[in-house]
Amino acid sequence: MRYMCVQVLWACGKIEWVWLPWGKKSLDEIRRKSGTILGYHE
Amino acid sequence: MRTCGELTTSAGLPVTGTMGFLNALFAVMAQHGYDSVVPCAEGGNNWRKKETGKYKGTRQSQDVAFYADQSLLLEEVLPTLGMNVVKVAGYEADDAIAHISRNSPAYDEIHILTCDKDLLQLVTNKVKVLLFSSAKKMELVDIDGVIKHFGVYPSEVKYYKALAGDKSDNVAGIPKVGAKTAVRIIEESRPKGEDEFLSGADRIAFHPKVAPEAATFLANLRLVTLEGDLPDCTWFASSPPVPMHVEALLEGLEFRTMLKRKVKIFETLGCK
Repeated sequence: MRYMCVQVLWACGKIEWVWLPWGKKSLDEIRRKSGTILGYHE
Repeated sequence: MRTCGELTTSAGLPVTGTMGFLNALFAVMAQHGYDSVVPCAEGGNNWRKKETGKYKGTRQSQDVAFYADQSLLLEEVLPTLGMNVVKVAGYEADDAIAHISRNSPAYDEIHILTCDKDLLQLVTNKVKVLLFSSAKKMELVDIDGVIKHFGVYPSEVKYYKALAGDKSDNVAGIPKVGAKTAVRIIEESRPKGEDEFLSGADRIAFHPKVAPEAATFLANLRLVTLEGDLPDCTWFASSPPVPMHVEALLEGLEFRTMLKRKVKIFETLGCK
């Protein structure tokens, strides 16, 4: 399975890298949880 | 106001990134008490992307809400807080940071706040990098810290990245060279007397492991090296904002938790 490593800035000010399945769905899920995507790679 | 988890104002303005950035910024400023803060942003028309389309090529474009949120932060919020955002056309934020950190003789110590280890190449006796993860998890990296992170000196970090590559920027390294080999090549390529007239980059390019891929190494090196002397890069120190303006801003953004601790925020920003 293809994964992506996403750097997220959460609304609380925390920045972290999270591993998620590759795809737009994962990015939308982060936005839904009040996160801003700063960058990502495979 | 919360709609489907994404933070927006009641007028529908996306503010998730702005809130995250301010929470991070206030936490760092409260802990370190800076005289001045200079935010740097992408200047657009990045020369690295023009040179090779592959650079940061794995990144998909952001959604519209991201750009609205970002421009709110850069054009409204930070100027209201007394901070002048630096953008230099054709260059990345990292280049502007490199320029400012190398051209600020008035300051005894400079901290670069980032979550990107690329900037560790800028560390000197005067410049330190504050690697930020959260208010409770931040690391101030000095020269010894860079050696601990990469195994090489700050001025050699660019060689390390050009050799081992950088997945997040989509820079492929030299085939069969990983982190350990990169450090070994750099150590073996330090000046030894007879080759002192060569630059560090040339000595590495002549290393037997790198020589067959010297052109790739030098092209990578150009991409990962931060530009320290930008043309037309003007920047100004920040000044304490007017408390009333900060309060109006936080009210407009509907950041109620921040409004509850506004006195502490005014203090952090140096308001009089």
